[in-house]
Amino acid sequence: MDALQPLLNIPAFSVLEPLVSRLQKFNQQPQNPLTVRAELNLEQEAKLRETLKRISENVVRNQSLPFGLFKDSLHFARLLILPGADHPERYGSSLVLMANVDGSVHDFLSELVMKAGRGLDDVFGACEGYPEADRRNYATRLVFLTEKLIPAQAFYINTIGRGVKQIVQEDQLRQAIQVFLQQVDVQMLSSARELRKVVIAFIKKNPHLLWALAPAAQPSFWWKAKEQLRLVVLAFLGALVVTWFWPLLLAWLLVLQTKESKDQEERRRPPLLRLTQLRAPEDVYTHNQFSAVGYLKSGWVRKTTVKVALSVVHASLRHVFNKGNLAGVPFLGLEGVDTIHFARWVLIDDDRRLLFTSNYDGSLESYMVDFVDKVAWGLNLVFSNGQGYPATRWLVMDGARNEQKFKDFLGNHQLDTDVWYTPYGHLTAVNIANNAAIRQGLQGEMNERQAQQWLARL
Amino acid sequence: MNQLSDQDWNDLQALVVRGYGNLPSACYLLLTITDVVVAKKYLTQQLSLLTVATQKPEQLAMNIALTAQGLQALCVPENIIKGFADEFRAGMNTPHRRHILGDEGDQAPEHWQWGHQQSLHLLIMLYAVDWPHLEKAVDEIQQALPAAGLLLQQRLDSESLPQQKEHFGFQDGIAQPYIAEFDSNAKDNAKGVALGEFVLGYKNAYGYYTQRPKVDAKLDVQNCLPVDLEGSALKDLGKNGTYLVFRQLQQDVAGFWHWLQQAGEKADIDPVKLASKMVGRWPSGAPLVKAPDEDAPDLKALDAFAYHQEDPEGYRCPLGAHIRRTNPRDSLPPEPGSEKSMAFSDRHRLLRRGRAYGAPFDASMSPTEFLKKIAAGKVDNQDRGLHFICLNANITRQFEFVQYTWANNPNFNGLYQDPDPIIGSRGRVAQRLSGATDDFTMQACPVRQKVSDLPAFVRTRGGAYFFLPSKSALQFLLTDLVS
Repeated sequence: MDALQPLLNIPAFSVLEPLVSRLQKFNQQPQNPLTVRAELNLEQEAKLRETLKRISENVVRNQSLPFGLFKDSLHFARLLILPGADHPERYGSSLVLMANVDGSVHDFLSELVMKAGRGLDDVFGACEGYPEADRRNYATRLVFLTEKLIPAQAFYINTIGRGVKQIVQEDQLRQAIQVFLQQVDVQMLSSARELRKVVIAFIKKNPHLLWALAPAAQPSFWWKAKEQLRLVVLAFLGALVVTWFWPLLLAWLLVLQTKESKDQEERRRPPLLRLTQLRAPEDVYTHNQFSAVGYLKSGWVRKTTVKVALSVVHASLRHVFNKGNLAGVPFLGLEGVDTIHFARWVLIDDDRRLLFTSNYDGSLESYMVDFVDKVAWGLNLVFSNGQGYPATRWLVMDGARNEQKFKDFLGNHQLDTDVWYTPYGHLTAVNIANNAAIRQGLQGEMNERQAQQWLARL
Repeated sequence: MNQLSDQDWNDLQALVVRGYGNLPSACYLLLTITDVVVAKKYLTQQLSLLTVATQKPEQLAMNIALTAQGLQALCVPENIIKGFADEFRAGMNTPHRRHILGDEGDQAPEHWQWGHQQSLHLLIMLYAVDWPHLEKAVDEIQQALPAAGLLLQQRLDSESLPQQKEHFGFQDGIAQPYIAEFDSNAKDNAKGVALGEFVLGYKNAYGYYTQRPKVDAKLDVQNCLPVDLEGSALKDLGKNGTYLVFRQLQQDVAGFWHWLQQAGEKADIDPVKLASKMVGRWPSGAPLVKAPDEDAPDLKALDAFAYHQEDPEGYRCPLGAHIRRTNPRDSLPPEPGSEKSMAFSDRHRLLRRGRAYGAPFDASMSPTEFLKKIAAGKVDNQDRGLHFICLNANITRQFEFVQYTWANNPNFNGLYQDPDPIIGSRGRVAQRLSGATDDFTMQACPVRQKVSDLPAFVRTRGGAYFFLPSKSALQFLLTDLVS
């Protein structure tokens, strides 16, 4: 749909704008990835680093970008300074802003400019092409940021449709029920069903919890139908490609296999000081951020492979792994990962580099262990096209299974995330799903067994 | 299964294969190297006294470990030191490790009795059949120290408690990883945890060799080091060695049982039962999964049990109980109850070699007696606790993972605000921000029972990461490497 955007610049087509914007919204997901990348002015870098440091000291409330202002639409956000592709030969460093937002990226951007225009000046004022001081207003700031938007080739949402407001509210609900339960004399009740009724009665009596009795907002019927249709079409196209072009795919794999045997693995281990620096801000909250960048292997075969792989990854994330379990396919014996909130893959610098960021539960060690143990194949599919990655066979085998080499590879490519915001730092993805199930369990009738299972969530 | 040659058995320090249960008196000497030339000479002389795996001493055993600073003090070249694990080189006291290990606030390294100084180089561990034998050995070393270029920083004594208990009154040290290579009766197809998880130079649970230091063969002038099994031309400095994690954990026995008495009254549950729910075993050691209602001393050393089949909900052994977190067996994803789940837990095991220190709160070691004593107001200020020592090949994936991801993490296994009730750190930042207290949840039907505001019963008083080299590696490290 973004391809239609230039058309709107032609006056005659501007009447179509409302229609295009509706179409865009329809094609979007309920949660969307915002990525702004703007080239940095070398002379401003030092000052920007100070500003970012100041912001990170109090991400929720600060003079420049108080992320707490966006508590109804913003999940995670980060700011990082990305070194240029040929840095230091050519400078080319850039400032990257990423956010996982409810609703459209454009709506969020205008909210951002509206509420924190001057703060954006503090940050993006360090970038080339940012409006001059006397020309800064809502429109010029918005145009700048919109022009710097770049797409994510693949994007993971833990549970499509669950907004930040819902997550925060449902946690308040659980906490209120927990406090209430401490006052209930369970001995006086004869069954789990009865106890559940007592809990529901408590919620009915609390005006500020009444919302919980209605089911959580869902994407519209039409949107879901469209997503189903999208899946069917993609699956059909996929099947068509496999049936008609399987010899080509096979030949492609053989070519990759010969390339794999010649590719160089990275031998260097990340310097200890660098690791100490990267680890220092981690494990303050229940979840963490991860940002990394690397060069793709040269040649069109690898570039095409990574693009196709990312499309396949994106389609499966959007249509299959969209309910809290990443890459789990029980009947194939594939184990899933339930600790990732959001992740994205962004091709940059004319597809020379791949930028990956994620928000995950627990320590980096446990995150890496999940990769090594459970979804090494999925990581290999994309990242084995990156220079220096541990050797793979047939694109998906080995690679990340080589624990030490894989951990060293990540250490060599991890970036500092200068600012990171989380609105629910005490909750894991599993907690969030459990909270949603608690709320859902307030609906309808339950038999004794169901009531027991529901109460076990508390 | 790996094959260990006679040479390997004579190379492994015996602490790797046994905890010296027959030698109840122990002493740990923390030393600084003040004169490297003299110290090397002295330590080389001591090499013949180093207890190796083929020996089973009945009176005295000695093992030696080094810190990363110790390697520097021995003038080991930097390019060799770089081959050691990152966490060992960085040490326990980095900003990040303070977070994850819970060494913050009044438990921060600045307040420790030992371990925060840069000058901790060497750990000599002595084990003896009784105190007179131990004292004699310590005296001999202490007298030699001034002339040996070594300075004693700290002496830590340990004495095993009666009935293999720890200070709170529970039987300890029951669950240890099974290593088939260390079991002379093991069958060829015996399944256990991979040897490479606990000893460097062997394949680990992923089927790979863990990162370890290797050196140029030319440096090994005495030709004492083994070759690199991975096929390089280098000599393997890590083989038959491992990393040793040492933490001095002070236990507040009176505070623990006093709190249990009060919390038990409030929650209408017997304090000993509440404590057992927190531990996951009864004072005798009987696991709650097998003995849910009351202590069953006939099951006291039982280790052959799992969680998923018998107790998936945690009705018997709570999901957040100490032993269910530090060794979750088959209870965690992927596929709880399966071999895969067991394999996952087995990649995070520790070989425990810790011992209690300080006089028991009451000689009976019985919680009921402890409670009576507290009720009578007989509380002392004695320093007591555990000299926690564990061995592992990968400190980050094993010790730190268990301590953070399983013990300290309040969100472990779907919980929200429940750190390990015994050893977990309290008041973590994320919890503070959300206004949450440190709780302990006992799953039950129709609904869980909860106790809130758990104080810290265990405090870190010292700690460091050491390398426990093979005998040959130690011999190599004591030679003159800068020529």
